[in-house]
Amino acid sequence: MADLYGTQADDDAEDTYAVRPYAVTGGRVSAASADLPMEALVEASFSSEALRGLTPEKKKILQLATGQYQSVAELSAHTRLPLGVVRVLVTDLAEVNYLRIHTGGTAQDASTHDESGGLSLSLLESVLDGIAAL
Amino acid sequence: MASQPSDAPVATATPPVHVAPTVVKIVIAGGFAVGKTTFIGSISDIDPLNTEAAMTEHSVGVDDAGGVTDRKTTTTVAMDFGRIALPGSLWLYLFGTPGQDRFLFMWDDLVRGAIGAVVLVDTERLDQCFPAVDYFEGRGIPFVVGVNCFDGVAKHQLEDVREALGLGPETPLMYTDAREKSATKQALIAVVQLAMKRIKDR
Repeated sequence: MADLYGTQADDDAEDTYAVRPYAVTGGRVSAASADLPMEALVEASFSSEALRGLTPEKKKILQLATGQYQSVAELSAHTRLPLGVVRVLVTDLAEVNYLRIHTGGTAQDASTHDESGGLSLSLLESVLDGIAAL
Repeated sequence: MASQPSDAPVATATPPVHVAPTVVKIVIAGGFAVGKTTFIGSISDIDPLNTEAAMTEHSVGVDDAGGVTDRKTTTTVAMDFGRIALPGSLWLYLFGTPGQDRFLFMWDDLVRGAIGAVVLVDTERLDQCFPAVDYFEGRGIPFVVGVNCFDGVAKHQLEDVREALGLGPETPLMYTDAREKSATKQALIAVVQLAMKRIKDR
């Protein structure tokens, strides 16, 4: 699944990226990262020393998510890296606790989704009231 | 944020003082150049952003923008999206689907966990929204259909559109104007209401 998002070598990618996407992820396609919702929020939780030794792409992600929440999709947009690549990098950074991933409200949140995957009525009511007040 | 111990395991770390927003999403679908990005931009807190999915062989040699070059000359293998902060620490993301049928394989990822979808329709090119309607119907995802009135002119009766699209009476159908925040708002409200009705009717 994740290779659909360009973690594989691709001639077109050379025009867009300084490095081929698969090189950025170390050639890996993480199984866990494929399930990371694109709207999941990321929050950096690192000390500045953590930046040492990180790839420029990971540094950029941590910097973008410092002091503000950024969704996986936003990180992809701001880094100009494909969604699949950002999913792998974010998953890597979360594994070493350099960032936190928040999935509240997404399909991975059992408190807002029922057993069939539908959103809870109370959350929908809050969303409805919120949109109506815009 | 800096005070959080960075070496503590995520699952057992002291809860942050602030709580991350709850994120929900609505998918904005429809044919090529039908106004999805305009729709998102009319209500988003941020200028619509663009996330790329690097296409490989899926995108080679099948481009078909037939007859619409007067409105939009290029398309990307990308999704435009926007974000709206709602009261109660809720963030609503609006994700536009990639504009052409050949990217349907990406939609499963897009719709996972979504409240539902708005299908935008241009009555001049009605057939372009068939894949979206089929997709959401087939998966039981709540969706509403918005007939985008380019230049503010409604050229077709809603009931004619309903018949042409083969929509059942349960699918909300409305005129919309992708440029107008108030119209966008009404379409989004209709999706959420439909999702709520589905739950209540169960």
